[in-house]
This record gives sequence, structure tokens and C-alpha cells, in this order.
Amino acid sequence: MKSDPLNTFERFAIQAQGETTSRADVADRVLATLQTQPPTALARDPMYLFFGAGSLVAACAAMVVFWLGTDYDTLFALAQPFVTVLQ
Amino acid sequence: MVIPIGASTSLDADDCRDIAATLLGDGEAYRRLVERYQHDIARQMSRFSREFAVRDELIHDVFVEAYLSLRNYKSSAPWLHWLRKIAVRVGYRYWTSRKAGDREITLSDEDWQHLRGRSPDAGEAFEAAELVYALLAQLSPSDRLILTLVYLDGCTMAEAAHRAGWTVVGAKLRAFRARNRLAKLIEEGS
Repeated sequence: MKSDPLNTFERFAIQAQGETTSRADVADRVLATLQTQPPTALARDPMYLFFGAGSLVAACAAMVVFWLGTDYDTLFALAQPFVTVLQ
Repeated sequence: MVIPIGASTSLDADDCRDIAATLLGDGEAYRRLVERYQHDIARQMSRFSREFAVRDELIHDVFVEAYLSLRNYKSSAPWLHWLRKIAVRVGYRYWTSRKAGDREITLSDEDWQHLRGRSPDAGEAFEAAELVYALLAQLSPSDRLILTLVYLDGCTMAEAAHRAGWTVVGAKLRAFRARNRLAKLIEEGS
């Protein structure tokens, strides 16, 4: 059974649901913002470009290190992760 | 994106038409969408801030984000449902971005008496909303969100989970813990 504090809270919450909300009129502002901010803005944000390029460089570096670590043996390099897991 | 106009009764034909036109670059079509749903979103965003200026800023952000990700909208559900998910994300981000001190809205002794059920009535809906908002503001953003969705927006647990992007089990668990913390807060509040 629910405790009294929650019953009281629920009663107030139901009462609060009946609160009227004043009307909003944001259409002009939204369109004004969108005219200055094209849909591709997010993708062109320097921060995202930095993360994207950083991920690519990190992935390439990891591949080179992995390849060097397997003594240039490509077949072994492909099989090694599975062999390691099986061990 | 293929929008099957009239394919489902749950989809509004005007919405489908305006979304398709917006994707083709028609700004006026998006204006119609904003004007159609801004009041629904205003009601939802008033749960996240009682200040009109902040609320309007949040509504603005919701429609800007909706526009920027409009290509991801799947027309299998009404646009308003999709919009409400974005609204929850924007509102939650607003709560988490505020400094810890900003969350503290003080409750008077009289308010605590109301919440403990020792005073029978909080007054009109406005007073009740102020009281509930001030109380929920004492909780963490995640507790506050689940309780807001369930108690103020009247969502079922499945709807709350969908809007917040949680699993139903996760939402139930959060609600259970949030209720316990709320009860403790009311009992221990000065």
C-alpha cells in the first residue's frame, strides 16, 4: 500500500494537470533560426569534424600497430583474434 | 522518405503533406506544422520550466531539432509522438545543463505541510502545479523526468519509456526508485 506522502503528491499532481497553459507563438523565431542554420550545420560543425578525423587516424594507427605486431604475416593477422579468443 | 498519405488512420494527412513539402524545402509548410503543434509542445515544455521565457526557448529548440532530423522521421507513427520524444530530450538536456544550485527551489513550511497532507488543499491548479514543480525540482533529473511523465503528463509506463528512450523495465525501475526517494524527501523535508 502506498504511503500517505505519495498519495498527497498524486492528488496535487492530478490537480496540477488541470492547469491551463498560455499559448506559445514561436513559428517566426523557428523559421528565422532555420534560415540562418542550414540542415547540414551539425555535420559541418568543427567539433564533429575533429572527432570524425580523430577516429579515422586512431583506427589507421591501430591497424598499422596490429600489422607490425604480427610480423607482416597477413594470414596470421587475420586469424590471430579468433585464436586468442579460443585460447 | 516515402510518406503513405492516408495509409493509416493514426497519421494526419495534413502532417504528411506538410512534412513532404518541408523536405522539399518549403518553409511555409514547416510553419504550418509548428503552428499546429506548438500549443501541445508548450504544454509539455511547461513541465520543464515555469518561466515563460525559458519555456518558449525550449519550444523553439524542439522545433529546430525536429526540423534538423526530419529525414529520420518514420511515418509509421503520428508526427506528434515523434515530436514529444524530441521535447523530452530537449527538456531533459535543459535540466542536466543547469548548475546544481539552480535546481534548489525552496519550499515554505506551509508547502511542506500541504505535501504531508496536514493541510487539506493546495488551492487552484496553478498553486498545485507550483508546489509539485518545486518538489520535483529537488530530485535528480532522471527521477524528475520519470515522475513528471507519469504524474503530470499522465503517461502509462510504456509511453513514458517510449518518450524517454528507455526500456519499459528500466522505466519501471526508475519510477520505483524515484517514488521511494520522493516519499523520503516529503517525510524528511523541513
